[in-house]
Amino acid sequence: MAAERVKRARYVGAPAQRVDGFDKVTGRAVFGADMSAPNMLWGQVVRSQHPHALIRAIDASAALACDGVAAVLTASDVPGDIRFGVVVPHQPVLCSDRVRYMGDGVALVLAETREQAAEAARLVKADYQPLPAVFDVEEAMRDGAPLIHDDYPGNVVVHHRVRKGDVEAGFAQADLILERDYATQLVEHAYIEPEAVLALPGRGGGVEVYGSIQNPFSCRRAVARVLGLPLAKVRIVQCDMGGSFGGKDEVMSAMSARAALGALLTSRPVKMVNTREESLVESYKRHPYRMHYKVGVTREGRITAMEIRMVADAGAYASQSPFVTWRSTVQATGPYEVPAVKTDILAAFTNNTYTGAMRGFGAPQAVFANESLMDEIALELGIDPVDVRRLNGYRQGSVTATGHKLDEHTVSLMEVIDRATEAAGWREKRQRLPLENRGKTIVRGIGMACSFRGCSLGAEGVDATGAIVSVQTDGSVIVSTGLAENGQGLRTIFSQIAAEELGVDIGRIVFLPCDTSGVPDGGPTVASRSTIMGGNAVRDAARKARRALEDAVAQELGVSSEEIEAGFEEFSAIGDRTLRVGFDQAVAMAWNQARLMASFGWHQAPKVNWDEHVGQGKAYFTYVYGCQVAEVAVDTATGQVRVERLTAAHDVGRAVNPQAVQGQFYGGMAMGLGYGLLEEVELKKGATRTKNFDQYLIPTAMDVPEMIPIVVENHDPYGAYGAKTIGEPTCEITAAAIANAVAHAVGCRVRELPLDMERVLLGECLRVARGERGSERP
Amino acid sequence: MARVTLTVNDRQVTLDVHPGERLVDTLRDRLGLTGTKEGCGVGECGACTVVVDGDAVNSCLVLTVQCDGAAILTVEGLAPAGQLSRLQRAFLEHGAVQCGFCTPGMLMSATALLARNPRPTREEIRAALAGNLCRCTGYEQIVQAVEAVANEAE
Amino acid sequence: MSIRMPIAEVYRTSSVDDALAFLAEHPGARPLAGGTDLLVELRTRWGGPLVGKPGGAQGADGGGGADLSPASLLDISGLPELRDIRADGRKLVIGACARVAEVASSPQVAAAAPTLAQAAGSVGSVQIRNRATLGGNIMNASPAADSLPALAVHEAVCVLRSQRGGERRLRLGELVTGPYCTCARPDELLVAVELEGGSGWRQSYMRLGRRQAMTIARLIVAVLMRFEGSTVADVRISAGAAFPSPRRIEPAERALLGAPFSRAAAREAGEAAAEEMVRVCGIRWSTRYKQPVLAALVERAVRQCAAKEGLDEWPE
Repeated sequence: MAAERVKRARYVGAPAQRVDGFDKVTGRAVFGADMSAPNMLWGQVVRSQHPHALIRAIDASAALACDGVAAVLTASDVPGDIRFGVVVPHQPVLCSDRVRYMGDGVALVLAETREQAAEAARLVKADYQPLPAVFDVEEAMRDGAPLIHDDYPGNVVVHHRVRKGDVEAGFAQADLILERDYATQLVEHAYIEPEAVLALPGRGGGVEVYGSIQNPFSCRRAVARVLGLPLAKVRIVQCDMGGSFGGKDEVMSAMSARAALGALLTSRPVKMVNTREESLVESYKRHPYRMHYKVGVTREGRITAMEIRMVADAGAYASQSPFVTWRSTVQATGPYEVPAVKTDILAAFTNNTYTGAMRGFGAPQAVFANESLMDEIALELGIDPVDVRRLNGYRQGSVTATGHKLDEHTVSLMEVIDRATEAAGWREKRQRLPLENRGKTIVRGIGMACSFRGCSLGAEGVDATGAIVSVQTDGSVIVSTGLAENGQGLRTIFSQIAAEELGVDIGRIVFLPCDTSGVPDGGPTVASRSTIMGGNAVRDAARKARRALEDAVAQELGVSSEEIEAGFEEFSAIGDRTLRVGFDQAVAMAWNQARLMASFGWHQAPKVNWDEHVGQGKAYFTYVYGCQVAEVAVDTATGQVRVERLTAAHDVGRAVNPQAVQGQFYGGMAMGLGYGLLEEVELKKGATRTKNFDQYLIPTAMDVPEMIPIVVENHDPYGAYGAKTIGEPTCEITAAAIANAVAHAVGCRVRELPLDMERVLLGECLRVARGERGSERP
Repeated sequence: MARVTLTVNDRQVTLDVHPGERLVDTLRDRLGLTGTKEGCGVGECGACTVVVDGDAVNSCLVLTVQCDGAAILTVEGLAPAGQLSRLQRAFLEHGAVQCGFCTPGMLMSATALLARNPRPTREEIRAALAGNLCRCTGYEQIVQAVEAVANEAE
Repeated sequence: MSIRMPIAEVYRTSSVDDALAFLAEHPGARPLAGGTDLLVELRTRWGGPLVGKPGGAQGADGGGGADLSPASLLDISGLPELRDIRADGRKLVIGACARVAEVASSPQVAAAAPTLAQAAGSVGSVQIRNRATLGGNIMNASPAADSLPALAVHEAVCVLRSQRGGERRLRLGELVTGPYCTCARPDELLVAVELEGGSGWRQSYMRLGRRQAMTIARLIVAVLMRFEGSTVADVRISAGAAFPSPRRIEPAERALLGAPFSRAAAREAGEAAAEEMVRVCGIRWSTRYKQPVLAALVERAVRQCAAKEGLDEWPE
């Protein structure tokens, strides 16, 4: 069809301003906590006071006697199933008989004001019988450890295996065998907006929930399940989101279900907003991992075999642990050809705060380990770290550790390595810095890290999503999708794609908030899948809408649809350029011809497959490749690390919005820097000690270094306009690059994150973290 | 209850407030100015930053009774007639906005900075924004936006 | 919607005399200046966080007293007579309600006590410095308070006033008796701080934090040195986040005083300071880190003073 001819893109690839930017710089954007409704109640959760205990009784009489208290709800008031969960539905919205971590809710107080709700919440008396608790993953898996969930023997949530080739033979061929242990910490998403919802009684006995909800459809499933309502009676509408990074999923399902329960039972609106402390205590975190690597290499540096064991702390509930750890299995060896691989990755329950999805999703941990290991190999063999990666790295047609032959897209690992290291001046600095460091207390180093990352969900599950493009009778256009804006700029990208495909000014496009009753379930907004999946769905819908207009114009002009060409804001006949019809006019024609101008787009991910017994298959339909170089200064007298420069090259397929892509680079690197140097949620017997931003430190404007983004574009056959993904890759390798730079600077290696002052100076952590390790904090 | 008179975005208001009422709550809940955000409640994140008598302050750590007679500028006051300020436009042009939750506080800190020091250096900008946490942008495009306005100053 | 602070009353005073009268009549009342510490404490005490056990049974909340009764506050932030910063001969007099931002940018402070200006500039963020006061930083008496080591080396005298007792002048080390403790009586108000200024001091202020901004100090070192030729004629050394209360570290000063400056002496001073910290505080969880690092920072600060005199080079 003529209209399918390649045109010069007007919006795709151009730096469009954010479509929600005006609202966000004027204070008009509506976030969850900005919502209110007449006659609303405030909801306040009463949380557990033990990491593991039986609930004998809950006495709410004193709370009910307080001024302004409308109700105190407990598990017994839940009409449906008290338990929800995306993978394993076993997380109680309010605990009935047992608490498993300090963030568990046991009651919900509803009162006229927040003040009254808080006062009354203090008076709810829960009678607990403490149970033995376990805070260390290895202890949790030992015989005799307290069982957190009765149906999970050994507290093992999941055990993923990869079996490829003959590992023993591989080690036999090696000239050098290294064994190393690495560990990473518990980390908070630290979205600046704490969780907030407003629930309203809905039509026909249903409910509506507005709030800071990352995945409205998984939230809807949880609310419907808890309230015993059909999905159609539960409407979830996303507000403007103050950041999520994977973090506003299950915690929002719980909050939404609680507020909706209150709205259903009191027939009044219920608002809930977490304090930062509540957020830090209740919300799930990034998994801490302990990782053991055994690797065999030849004298030349070629890897012959790898044996890997990782254990992730799942905390109290399964949440996304099975999927998070599955992604780790694919990325565990890094982007390197390894003929023989044996990988075992487990997640275990403890009474710590539960862990789930966070930007990177099981990759940053594995990348920290395997990229540290690559540098350790290079050091042992006296090879430059770039060379050991070039020797083993994936090239066109390489086969991954999980058995996927990479021949459908451009394998650009070498390109990103070259681009990043050249821009950073790698060879020269790698040689010069150690010479300059002699005799100095402040020493400098340069380090690198790489990754390959599967796009979208891969073999995790069903991967499809939809969009609606509805042309209005005046030529304005409404776009809505099942994927959600979490701050990353999805509305803008999708508006660009819709404008591009319709051939109209982007000013015509209005993007609606994600509303579960207005669009079909498009799966979760996770795994950096918005552009690659949703972009294709929007394109499909817009293309169909455009065709309706082309048909209308063709009918009006008395030519065939094939003879109509869509230009910018106009349609014309291919044979006779004098026959031109403006977009508004075309809309009027279609309306007069009684044509449907709204269309529905749908995109299914290409097929993938997975054999879970051996961990082999086509894990993802495509991958992104990235390389970052960190330059650091280390004060050897204090252990303080200052990152001076970060250079990042990532193959994004195509940058639909170059400015937004750069924003993902900068933001991802800053988050990776926090992971590498600063951040650690400290738990003591399951109780959170880092309860606010004075204790949990994320990078400030003073902490971020000069950052050099290098956008590499190799058109992907499966991408929307060739675009792949970028949100997570930028975040997953920074910490590893920093750790390698610190090792280069100081000459010894820290194998545990974060590289705080104590670890760098003394080689170990002095603070309480990861259960019972470390010593006391004052 | 105490009676206070505030000038908020050039509009004078008189309110009876509880002695424990925070300025952030007065602005958001009583005056409907929800552009000012609360992220931590303890003066660490800066999302609640407003300008009081020319100074950027955390409105979660100010009691409204302490503001009697004060002139307060919030994000809603930057574009009173819908006309964006130069700084607001620069935020849009440089991609300084992602989720937008820190944006009002960032704008207020930067507005106070530029009022006092119209041509700050990059380092001065970073120092002035150090009390405003952002988790999305890595700060780079925010600093670029403020820098762009500074570079245009006489 | 609001989080309401547990405050029964905020008395807005118009003069120091009126404030003192109020304190005399309301022994439980607490002065409120910038509020950047007090309001955080009240929010926590109220249980604003609403996590864990009320009353701080988890310990770390600082709400151990479980005192949920509303506070009575005396707002002194509006008293212009307490905001003055002036040089009085060789003395620098800073009103207790001078904001930390004003201290950081005051030409008088920069001239007489640059260490204090630097200390004030490293407090929190712009927003915090615009509210927080020097008097508040002192009376909160955090062992990690940014200003205290700078005030200690300048032999600060704190001027307290009460209706009953009139004026009382205490040295900083006498006023601050321990972590978050002062010997001020409930009816006393800190009105001013007097510093011994003077020229001829070489000064160094070093602050180590986990982050580049907005973080509680892990260690602070303030050093003043006066040289005659290459001989150390006078020296004052103090450290923050290292001792329970502000003080000069005499064993470290002795390692330098009266002798020609040398790098070896600088190192010795550092080690003496670290040993003194361990002697006073005992072995704690952080000692393995803080002992060598305090030694290094004191050594570095001393070398920086010497470098300003042309006797050493720092930074390397």
